[in-house]
Amino acid sequence: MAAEIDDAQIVQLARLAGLELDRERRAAVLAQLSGLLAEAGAVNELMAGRREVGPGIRFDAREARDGG
Amino acid sequence: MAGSAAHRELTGLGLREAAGLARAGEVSPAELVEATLERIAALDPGLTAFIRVDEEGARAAARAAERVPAAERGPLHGVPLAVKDNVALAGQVCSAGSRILDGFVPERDATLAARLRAAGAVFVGRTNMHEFAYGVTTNNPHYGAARNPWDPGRTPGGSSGGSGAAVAARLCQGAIGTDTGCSVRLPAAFNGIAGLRPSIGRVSNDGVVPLAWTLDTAGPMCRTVEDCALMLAAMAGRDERDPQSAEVPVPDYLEPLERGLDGLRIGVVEDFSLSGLQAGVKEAMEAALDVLAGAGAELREVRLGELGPSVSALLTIDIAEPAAYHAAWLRERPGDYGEDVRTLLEAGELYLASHYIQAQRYRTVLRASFERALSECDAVFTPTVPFTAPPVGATEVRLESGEELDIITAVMRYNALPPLTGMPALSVPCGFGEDGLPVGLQLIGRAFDEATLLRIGHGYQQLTDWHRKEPPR
Repeated sequence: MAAEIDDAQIVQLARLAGLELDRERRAAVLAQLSGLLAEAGAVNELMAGRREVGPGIRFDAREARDGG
Repeated sequence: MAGSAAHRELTGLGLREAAGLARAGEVSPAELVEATLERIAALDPGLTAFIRVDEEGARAAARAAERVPAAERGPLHGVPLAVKDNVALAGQVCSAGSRILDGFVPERDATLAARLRAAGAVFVGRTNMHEFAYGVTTNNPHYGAARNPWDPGRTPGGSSGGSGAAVAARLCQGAIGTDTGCSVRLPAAFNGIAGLRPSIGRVSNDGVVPLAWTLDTAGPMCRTVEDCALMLAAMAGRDERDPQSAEVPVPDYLEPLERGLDGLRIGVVEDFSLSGLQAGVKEAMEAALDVLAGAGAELREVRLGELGPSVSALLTIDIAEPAAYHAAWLRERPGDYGEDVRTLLEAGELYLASHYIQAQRYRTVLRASFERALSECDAVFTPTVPFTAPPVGATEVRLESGEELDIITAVMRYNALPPLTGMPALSVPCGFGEDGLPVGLQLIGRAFDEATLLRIGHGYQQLTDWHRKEPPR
C-alpha cells in the first residue's frame, strides 16, 4: 500500500485516525510512507498466503526457549 | 586536553579492572569519578555524548561507596557508568532526548538501574540519544547531534549514540543502552565497542521509556565483551514490575568466558552474511571468521528462510507501536517533536491493523527459521551493519550495490533479525573500514543463551586487539 498511496488517501486515513495534517504535514508523511516504507507490502504478501490452523503470533522469547 | 596523566590512566581502565582495583582499595571510587568527570568536561563539548552530567550525584555516590566495608563491595564497586536518557533515575530529569518529557522527574530508579547501583555502580550522567529512541543517528534536535569520537564529522549511530560515543571516548567504563531495532548494536559497531542486546525478557523494562513494547530491550555497552558480561550479570533477571521479564534463571556469565572457542559452531548464512558489504567491512568479516576458525571454532554454512520481509516487518511494528504510545502527545504537542520523529509518528497513525498483525505473525515464521539454524550451530554470524558510520546529518546511505536507501532501512539489514525473533545478539569490534572507521560483527544466539555469545565474543577478543584501539582526541 505504502508505495502507491497518494495525498487524497492520506487525507482520508488521517481523518479516520482523528489526526489533523495540513498540506505540509501530509507531504512529509507521504514522503515517509513512499520512501522508508516502500517495501511494506513484502510482509503482507508473505503472510497473507499463510492460513495455518492454530497459534499464529508468538513474540515472547520465553516461548522460543520453552519450545512453546 | 583530556586530563592529567594519572586521570587518563584511570579512565583507560576497563570496567572489570576498575572495579577490581576499587574493591581491593587500590583505587578509590572518588578518584575514578573525578577522573571521569574531568575527562567528560574536556572531551564532551566536542561529542555531545551527554545530555546531563550529574557531578554532584556522582561525587556523593562515590563518597558513599568509600564507606562500604571491603567485604560488602559489589562487582561494580565504584565504577562510573552512564545511563541512556530514557532510563529512570530517582530525582533526575528523564527526558528520553525529547522536549515532551523535559520536565519528567521519576521518583525511583528503573529496576535495571537500581540493580546496577546495588552492584556498586556510580552513575555519572545521562547520555544523548535519538529523540524517544526513534531513529538511528542521535541527531537530536533538542540537545544537539552526538558525534562519533573516531571522526566527529560522522554519526555515532543510534538511538544509544551518546552511550556508544561516551564508552568509546573513555568518558565512562560502561553505559546502558536500549535496543528496539538496533539501538545498542548499531552504535556499538559504529563506535568500535561491544554491545549486547539480551533476549527479550532477560532484562526488566521497568522504568524505561518505551518505544515499541514487543521489541524493546535494554543492554550493556562496554569496551570489552567481558565487561558486558559483568554488567549483564547485575542487570538481568525476573522483575515483578515488568510482567514481560522472564522467569529464567540468570547463569554465571563470567565463568564460561574462559572456555575458549574450540568446538563451537558458528553459522554463516548462505548468500546473506557476507553479501552486499562495503569492501572494508567484508574484509573485516572474512578476517574475523579466519580468527574464529583458527581458534578451533567450526564454521558452518546455514540457511535461513524467509529473510526477505524482515526489515519491512521490523519497521511495520516499529512504526505502529510508537504511534500508539505517542497518540495523545502527537495531538496535544505536535510541534514539540523533532521533524523526523513527528513524521514517523504521523505515518504510524495511518498504518492498517492487519499490516501490524501480519508483521507479528511473520516473527513466528522467522523465529522458527532461526531455531532450525541454531540447532545446527551455536551462533549465527553476520556483520552488525554493512557499512561504516555515515556523516552527521545523513538521511540516506549508498550501498555497495549503488542503491540509495533511507538510513533507517539501510542499517536494519542484519540488525532487524534479533528483535524480531526475541533472540540475543552481540556486536563485537572487528576492525576498521577503508575510511578508518570501526566495523562490528554480530553474533545471534538462542533465546536466553547470552552466555554462549559472550563466550565467543570474549574468545575473539583474546585473539585480537580491536577493542584496545582508542579514538584520536
